[in-house]
Amino acid sequence: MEPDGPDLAQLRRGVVQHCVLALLEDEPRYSYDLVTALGEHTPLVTSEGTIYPLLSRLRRQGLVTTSMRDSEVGPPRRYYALTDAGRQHLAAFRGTWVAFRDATDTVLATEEPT
Amino acid sequence: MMTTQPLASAWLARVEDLSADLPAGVRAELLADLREHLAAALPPDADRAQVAAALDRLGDPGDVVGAARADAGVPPPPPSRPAVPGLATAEALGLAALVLAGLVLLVVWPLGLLLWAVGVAVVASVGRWRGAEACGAALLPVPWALVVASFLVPVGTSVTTCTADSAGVEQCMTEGGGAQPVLLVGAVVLLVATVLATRWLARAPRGRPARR
Repeated sequence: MEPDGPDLAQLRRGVVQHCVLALLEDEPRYSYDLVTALGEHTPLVTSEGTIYPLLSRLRRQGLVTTSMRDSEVGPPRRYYALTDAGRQHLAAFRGTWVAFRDATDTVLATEEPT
Repeated sequence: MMTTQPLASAWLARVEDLSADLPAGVRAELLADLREHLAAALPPDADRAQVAAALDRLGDPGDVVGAARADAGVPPPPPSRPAVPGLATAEALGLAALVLAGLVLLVVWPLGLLLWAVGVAVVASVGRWRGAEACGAALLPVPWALVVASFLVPVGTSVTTCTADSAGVEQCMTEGGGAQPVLLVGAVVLLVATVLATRWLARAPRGRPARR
């Protein structure tokens, strides 16, 4: 595993939560599936375990809600769903992110042409 | 249940240890989430390699608790013991003996001297106080004895005079004691100063660790 520099930790902060919201955009998801799906994108998260505190915070902030659903195999499962506030938050971030990313790409390309 | 897997149990126990200073609700939720995750990730008959792989993906317990700490807004724990260490048992006993020695010195002086000697011996042996601090600690009974004296003197010198008038009604008048506010104020000031000095000794940081 590649050691994460402090830069990567700084970049993740403030970005990853919006990726969680985006993963919930189409439908509610089982917490385990949500965490493993996000965990696939290694630059975005340190490890799967670090996503749970983030989910708790998003719930406290009212951007997502949780509900328990019965499962055919094993105990009831916790599902995460986007709230209206979460949806608005995500839409706003999309706009901000595109502008931010384009500006960063432009500046970085000037500094280091390829 | 996969949490009976020694590897997984040890991993969860580590998270539990590291998260002891988090708010109870945050901590309970984190542990429940992680247990649920492991239950979903591992079949009941998971072998050691499967458990190890699942734990590897979950990550380092320190990272997980660190993320929970940051998200809950809890500052990181201090790297070592607090700057003002508490008293070890022997240190507390030594100080207590010295205070008690001062309190009883004027009343039961042999016991006072004995406690004084014990206190000085303990204070010297624990090595917490050195130099001027050690001298201060050894002399601690002196101000405490003065405090006792300052409260005893006004009471002891109070004089109650009773006279019977012609009708045989007795009238009593007390002088000294409560009638001497200056002495009492001085005694209280001395008491406060002595208490503060004792507290200072009890909280003085360990300069150097005791040599062994």
